Amino acid sequence: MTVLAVLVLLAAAVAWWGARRVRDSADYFAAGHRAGAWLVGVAGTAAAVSGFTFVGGPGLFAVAGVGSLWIILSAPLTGALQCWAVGEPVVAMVERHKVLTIPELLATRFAGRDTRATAALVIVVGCVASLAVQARAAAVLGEDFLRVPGVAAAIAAMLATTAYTGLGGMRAGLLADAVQGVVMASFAVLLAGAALVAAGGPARAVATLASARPDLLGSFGAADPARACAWYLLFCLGTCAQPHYVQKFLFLRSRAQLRLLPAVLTGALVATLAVWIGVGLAGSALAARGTLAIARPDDLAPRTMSLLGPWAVLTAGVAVLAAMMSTTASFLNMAAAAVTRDLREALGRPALGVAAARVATVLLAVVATAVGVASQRAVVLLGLVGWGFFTAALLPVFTLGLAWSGATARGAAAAIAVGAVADLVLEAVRGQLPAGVEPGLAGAALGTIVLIAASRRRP
Amino acid sequence: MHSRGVPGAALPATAAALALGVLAAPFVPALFPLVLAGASAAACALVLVRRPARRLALALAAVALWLVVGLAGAWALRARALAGFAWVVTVLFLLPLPLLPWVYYRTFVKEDVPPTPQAHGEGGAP
Repeated sequence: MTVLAVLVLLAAAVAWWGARRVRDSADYFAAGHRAGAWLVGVAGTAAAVSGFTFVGGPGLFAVAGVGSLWIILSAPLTGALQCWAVGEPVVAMVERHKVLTIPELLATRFAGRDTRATAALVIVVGCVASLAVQARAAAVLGEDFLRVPGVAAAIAAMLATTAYTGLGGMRAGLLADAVQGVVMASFAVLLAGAALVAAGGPARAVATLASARPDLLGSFGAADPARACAWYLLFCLGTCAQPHYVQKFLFLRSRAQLRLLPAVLTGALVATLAVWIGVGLAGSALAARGTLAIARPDDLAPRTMSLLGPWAVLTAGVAVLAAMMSTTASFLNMAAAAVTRDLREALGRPALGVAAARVATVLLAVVATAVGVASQRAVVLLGLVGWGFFTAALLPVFTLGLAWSGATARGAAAAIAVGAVADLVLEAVRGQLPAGVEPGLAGAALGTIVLIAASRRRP
Repeated sequence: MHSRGVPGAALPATAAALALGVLAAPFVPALFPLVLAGASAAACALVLVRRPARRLALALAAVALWLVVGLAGAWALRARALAGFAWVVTVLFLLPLPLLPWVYYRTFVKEDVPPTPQAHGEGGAP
């Protein structure tokens, strides 16, 4: 409870700081286009990493072994890839047109209201669904790590994030994300190191698995190679399509800041991912030796932390909350922008100001928290809308669409719609799909074909 | 023509071929590493549309080569517990960690290629 109280107080301080600095919509939605590579890189990584990295990742290692690492193997490449494929054209458009939101960026590129409306709808749906899942995860992990009632953890995390995001927009959100990013990265390295020491070091942990669980090793562990390759591609190319990633390019003060950005992104991401590899490897080895008893894969991280001691449980709890809050802040801000600016302007009405965005932020947070805390079934359904959904809907327009001058507004709107629907349909029948068919990836492939075909078709 | 370095038809043709490859790969698993390397390298190579420099093209060719070698090795060693694990962690993860951001840093240019007239709105090479 003390942790939650400190969290809310810190958030109130950041909210107060941010509220005094927000003068207009550019400050609120795009941090005034004044941020440097370090701030954007660390904050961007914090927004990108969710609680899954600290709990689901190590748990997945216990099931799939090295196969689970194919989700994060592209980490050395994604920083440079994002800047090459998306960052450079986006920053060039921001410098020329001072765009504030992702749908506005696409409307500027494709000169079409339909594109803006479709992108805004996808962002509202994806963000609200992701926010509900974050609220639910805060409830579950608050009970596991902080030993507080789940509803209290979810409300405290959402309240704190809504306070600084609502009052200070991304001026406050970016600063808070960066602080949370430093906390997450340093705590992840600390926890990974401690877990590996408890397992007798990396070499001994690997030796244990080689004798007791060799199926977890090899190039793909216990995962089907096609599935592992699909994960790599989904999480590699998918970084170019996540709106909360692309949003960070809108904050940069100049193109020159891009030069150092991949190094900062890669460093921060790899430090945070250390917990996936370290706790996954060490926890699996400890479980193989019988030191740890786990009933289900997601028990691996909490049980490993309990073995390390109360300090590790508390540290992991704070890191998980930081991961959730940073992701939540970006989704809240983007959804508020889509509702108060993009959808209205796409319908030919004037955009609303900062005051309306603040109200929208609070309302969106309340709805998402209520859904996330109240309904287990709703969260399961909303969980389908996440990384894969954004990849399917937005990857074609952010990669091919920004680079190919033949891409039209009609093609872009059709690609976004087809990709999003294809992902949802395939997610609904995921259990029947062959290994290697990832709905997000297949949706993006269909969207790409539609983008090309619809752009080539004469009016 | 929207760029000086990449022929106009090459972009949609490559994208369509890779999209079809992504849809087909789950049914021909041995094809997946090739599609993976091709799609990842092609996404990086989109930068050549805006700044078609020889040094950058060579750097991206090296990135593509690393992906092909890394994935081929992983495929070849998939049944060997320790060798496969060591290959994946070393060649696909640890080795490129400092190199790829450095490649970006070294090939970055402060000024982008000036935009060309566009047929559709803002156009593709901002």
